[in-house]
Amino acid sequence: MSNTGVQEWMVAPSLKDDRNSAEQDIVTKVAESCDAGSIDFPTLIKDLEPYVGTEQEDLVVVGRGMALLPLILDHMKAEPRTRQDVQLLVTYLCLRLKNESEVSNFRYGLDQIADCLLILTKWKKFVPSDSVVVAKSIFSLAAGKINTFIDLTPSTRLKFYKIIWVLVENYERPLLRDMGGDSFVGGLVELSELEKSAICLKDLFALYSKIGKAWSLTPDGYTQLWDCFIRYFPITLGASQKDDQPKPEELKDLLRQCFTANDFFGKAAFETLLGNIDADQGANKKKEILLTLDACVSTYSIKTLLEWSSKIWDTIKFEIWNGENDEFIADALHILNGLFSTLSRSDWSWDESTKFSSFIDGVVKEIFDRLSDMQRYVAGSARMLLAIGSSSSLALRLVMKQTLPGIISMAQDDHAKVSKKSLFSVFNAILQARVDLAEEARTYENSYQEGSPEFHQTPQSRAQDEHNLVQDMIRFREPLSDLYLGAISEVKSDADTDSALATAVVQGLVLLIRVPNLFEEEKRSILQILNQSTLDDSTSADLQSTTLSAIREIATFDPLGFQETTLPQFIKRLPEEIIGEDQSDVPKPESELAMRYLENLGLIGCTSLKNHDELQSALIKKFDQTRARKGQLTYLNILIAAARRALGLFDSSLPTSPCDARISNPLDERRGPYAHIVFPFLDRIIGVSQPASGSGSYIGLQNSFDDSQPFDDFTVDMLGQMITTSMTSEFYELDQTSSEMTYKKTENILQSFDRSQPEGTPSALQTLFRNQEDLAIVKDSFASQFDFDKWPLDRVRAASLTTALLAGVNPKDKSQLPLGIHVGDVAAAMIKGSISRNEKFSQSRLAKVSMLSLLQLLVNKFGAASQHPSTGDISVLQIMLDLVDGQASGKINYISEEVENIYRTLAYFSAASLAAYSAESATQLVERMLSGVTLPNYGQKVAQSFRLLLAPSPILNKQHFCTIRPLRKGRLFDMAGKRLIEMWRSESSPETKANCLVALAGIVAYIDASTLVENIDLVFPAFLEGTNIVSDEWAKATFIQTIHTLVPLAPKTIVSHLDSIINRMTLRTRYPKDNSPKCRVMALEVLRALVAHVDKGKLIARKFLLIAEVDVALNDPSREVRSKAAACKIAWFNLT
Amino acid sequence: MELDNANPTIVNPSELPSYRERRKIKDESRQKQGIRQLFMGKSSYAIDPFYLSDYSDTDSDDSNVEPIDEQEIYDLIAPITDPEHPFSLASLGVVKLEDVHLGSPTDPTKAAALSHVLVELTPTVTHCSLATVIGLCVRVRLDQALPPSFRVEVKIKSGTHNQSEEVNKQLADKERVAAALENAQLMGVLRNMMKTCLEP
Repeated sequence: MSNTGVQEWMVAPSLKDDRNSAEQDIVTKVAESCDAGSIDFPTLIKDLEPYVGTEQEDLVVVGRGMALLPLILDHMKAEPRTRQDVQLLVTYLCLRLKNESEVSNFRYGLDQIADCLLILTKWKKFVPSDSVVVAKSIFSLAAGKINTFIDLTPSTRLKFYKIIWVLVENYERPLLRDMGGDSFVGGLVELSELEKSAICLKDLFALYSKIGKAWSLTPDGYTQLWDCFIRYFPITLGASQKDDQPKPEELKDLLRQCFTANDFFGKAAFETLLGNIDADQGANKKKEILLTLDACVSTYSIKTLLEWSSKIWDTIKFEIWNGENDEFIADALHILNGLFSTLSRSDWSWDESTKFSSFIDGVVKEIFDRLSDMQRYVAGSARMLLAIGSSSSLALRLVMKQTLPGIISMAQDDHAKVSKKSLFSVFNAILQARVDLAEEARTYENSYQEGSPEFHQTPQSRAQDEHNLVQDMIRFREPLSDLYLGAISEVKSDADTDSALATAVVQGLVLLIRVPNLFEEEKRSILQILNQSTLDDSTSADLQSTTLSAIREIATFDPLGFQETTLPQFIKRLPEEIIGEDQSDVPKPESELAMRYLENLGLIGCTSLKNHDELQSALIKKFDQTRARKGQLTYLNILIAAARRALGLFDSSLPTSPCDARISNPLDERRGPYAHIVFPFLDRIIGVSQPASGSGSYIGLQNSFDDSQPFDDFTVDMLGQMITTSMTSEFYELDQTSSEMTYKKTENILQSFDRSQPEGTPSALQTLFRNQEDLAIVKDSFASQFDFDKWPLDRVRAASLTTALLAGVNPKDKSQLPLGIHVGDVAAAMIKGSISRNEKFSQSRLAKVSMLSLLQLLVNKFGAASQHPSTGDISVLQIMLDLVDGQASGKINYISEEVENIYRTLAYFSAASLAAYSAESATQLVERMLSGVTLPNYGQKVAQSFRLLLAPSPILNKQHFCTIRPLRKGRLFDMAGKRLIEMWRSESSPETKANCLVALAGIVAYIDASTLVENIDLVFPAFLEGTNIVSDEWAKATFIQTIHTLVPLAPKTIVSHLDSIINRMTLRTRYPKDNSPKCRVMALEVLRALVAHVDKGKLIARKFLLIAEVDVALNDPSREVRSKAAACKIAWFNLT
Repeated sequence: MELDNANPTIVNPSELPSYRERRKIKDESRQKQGIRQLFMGKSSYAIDPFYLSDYSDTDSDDSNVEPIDEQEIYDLIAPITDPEHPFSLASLGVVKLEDVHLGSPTDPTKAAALSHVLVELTPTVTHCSLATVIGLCVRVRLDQALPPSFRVEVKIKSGTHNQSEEVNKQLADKERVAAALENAQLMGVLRNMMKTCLEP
């Protein structure tokens, strides 16, 4: 034996240590020797002979020996020098495969032979004529039904299929020449006859499809091929799907490709599919038949389809007219569209006198006869006309010619058998087909590539088709216009009109605008009619809503229509002025009207960036016109609310993908998302003023008209909300610094403005974007701008915009820092302002709230608690604590209002600190709040303020880049919840006890039930007592609600307190005057929940007494309570 | 088992009158008014105890009283399921709002004053063999859901059933009703019919 490494390989399994590595070394060594030519394949085979030859009886040894060959071939880096070497190995392997001498051990190692052949057939030195030898050898595995092949594992069979794929792909000529296509297909048919493995079928279907498409076979050959795959139709897969198996949809698609591989299959395919479409079968089978039919009509040649088109139509039409399954109807319509699209292709020489036009004429006539005879067929017929019409220009022209004159007459006939609503749906279908064709033409034109087979029509020929279509449509222009415009005025004037008719007419008007080259001149007047319908008070709500949707749709595809027609028309209808003030909760009719128009305008205008910009620009113009009149603050506020609403609508509709969407005036140095919308309002509302008395200047509010009517809280609040929206908007712009098309987050208005200012200019957080001229006036008093005691109220109101800006700053974005304000100074000023009893603050809720909000943002986002004011030596936190401690110790005498302000500020400060999980400051602050609970006069309010700590906040939230740590809830419960329960137990004063429970409710309302369940024995007695609180309905309702939550989670505790729970809940329902409807409703829910979650035996004893109590609730003054009582009673009544 | 009426007429539930539906519609229309909501909306700081003046949401005045009316009585019985079909009595037209009559007490100032409720049922066919069971169920439902101060009377609407007199007699006979309710099998049927009344 030569030194080929075979011997080492055969003994390798006996190696104890590092066998894999040893085997790997052997294979590498042999492969390298083969590459170098020092070992050739004949020598290798010779060396293997003792192990794999005819004499070897041990099958394990055979397997081991054969395993070496594919490993060597796989590791070889170069092909052998001569083709003879390759041929010899191929011949040897094929001999083993064929096994004509029926050597028993040749039936083993087939998987390894497949591996070898798969490598060898891909080699360049593979002899092409050997492809026949390989094919025949493989086919011999199944020849004569010996079933050797199907007994192999699916993975081995798959390897053989892959070899055949390589042969078909690379050696078509020798195979067809030396073996013949039919003979090859015959072998393949026999080989794959019993195949059921999904993984193998995937390759087989691809193989059938490839042969069917590329090879030229005799009719018998095609028939054999058809028989190969038709038996799998429709394919079904077992429930147990493995990961490596193909997906059912993939196999179905491959099988459909077999159907469409060759026109020869057309006859058999249509006979099978059309014959089975109505057979009694499952929905999946029918679906597969329809999808396959769709694939056939879209792929077969016109010649083949022509033979079958009538039969296809005869079958499909009933599926649409009489079908009940929408999905099948949609599939059938798709088939119809595919059939007519293929028949309309220009690679077949048609003219209007050929069979196509006579076929389509016949079909359309049948549809028309059906729809004009019976109402029930109209909907299906309309959809058919759309499917046919949208298949090609020629088809649509024939459809129009055959149907429009008749339908127009019917629409003008008051005694037609078919309703007008249905007829408009037919017109709409034809118009929709025209619109679809126009869109398809646009796509075709944009992607046209000369010479490409999928573009079988030249742009010139399409242009001619388009021209013919336009000419044909123009003939129906006048009657269509009369019909639609007549119908819309009829619909508008008759309040009882069927809403479906109104919808059909309005949809049709939208289509008339969309159809190219038909109503170009009337487009605007049609849009005006739709606008008018939306604006008119006399129009029904349904029609208003329909026309509004239509105008929105038009605004998306015809922005000019919005800008030139809709927007001016709506703005013109707005009142010139609104005289008088609105009542507190009922706006004046003029205000209602203006709000309705502006709301609709916002909904239409948010359809695109350009539309939105135009709308905002119109709003600012209207704002200016209104401001020129006296006493129009209400109207101005409605207009700014409209701008805020439109901005919100547009911003939330922005696609998530980055876009270069910022539009800003290049001459305007103040840039950023929505800068062109926010700044005009800022310029009109914010200004520099001097106080009536005293010196200095401040950044405050302008007047809405004159001194008698300054802008108010609402104006500034809306402007603030717009600013925050602009700051947090996900706008992107093209990165000019990159050579590739990349986007970066757009700088916000604050960053952009501050960067554009001369060095030393204070941040816009303080200046509110005032220009240098204004700032020069304020200069001397700039440091004191946040000293609110000093300035008039409008300064405080204006400062709320600083809050709005700060809400939008992302502290994690380094490019937005430093802030440009002294955090410690401003935070200290906010504390000072918040506790001030200055009378002016009582005139503005916004002023107070925005100071507290600003403090919260500074604490939560910028760590203000530990900062020191520039002129002080104690931290902001200490300032707060000192205020509370000074009040508590009595060292400083505050009046009542100041004390309340201190504790209010404390609660807001604590919430911000707690959310950020600032351990030290939160502990100290909450400690002060706990002490405040025991205060005789303020304890109740302090207790109530605990609910501010965890409640969702309009300022402290993630959208404003605040830190909101989920763990804060459990921490607060440990820190304060448990203490409050202790205090409740130990306190003797009933008021303090109640306060403890009220404070506890403020925590319990927002923490997870799991925390409560973990501490159930500690908390439950307090919860029960909490249901009796008389001073705070919110707290009482919270405890009842919490008990309701705990009923299913802690049944043991519930049972142990069953009588207490029932007594307390029935006490709530018995005395409606002492308990809010919410408490009564929740109490009944608790009683009802007991039935579902507590052992019936425990409840039955209490059943009749409880029902008697619920009977009282049946007479409750509140309808909702009575309804809950009835449900509760029936639940208890059913207890057996 | 053969049905008395295998193909009854069904009313679309959305066309039935109901307080619940009205509330839903009202809520939806409120949500739609964006600018109005901004303009007239309440402050988002309503939870702040220092922000609010003292308030009470208890029913301390008579303006919060919502008296029981025909619609509410109809809402109580409308969802009852027909014993034959999986439809509610309201969708089958067996109970109709206009056939619910509420008589006010003669002297409402007296605490014990009684109100009188009369419900007339319209069976789907004149030979309906389950009219008594339906009547009994409506009666049980109202007895359970209305306060004890209401006297309930359930009748078959005149001219809608072949044996209306007989059925009415049975439904008016308190002792027979009480005896029927002791029949476990019959109570099982009634409970099944009323299951839908428990749904939120």
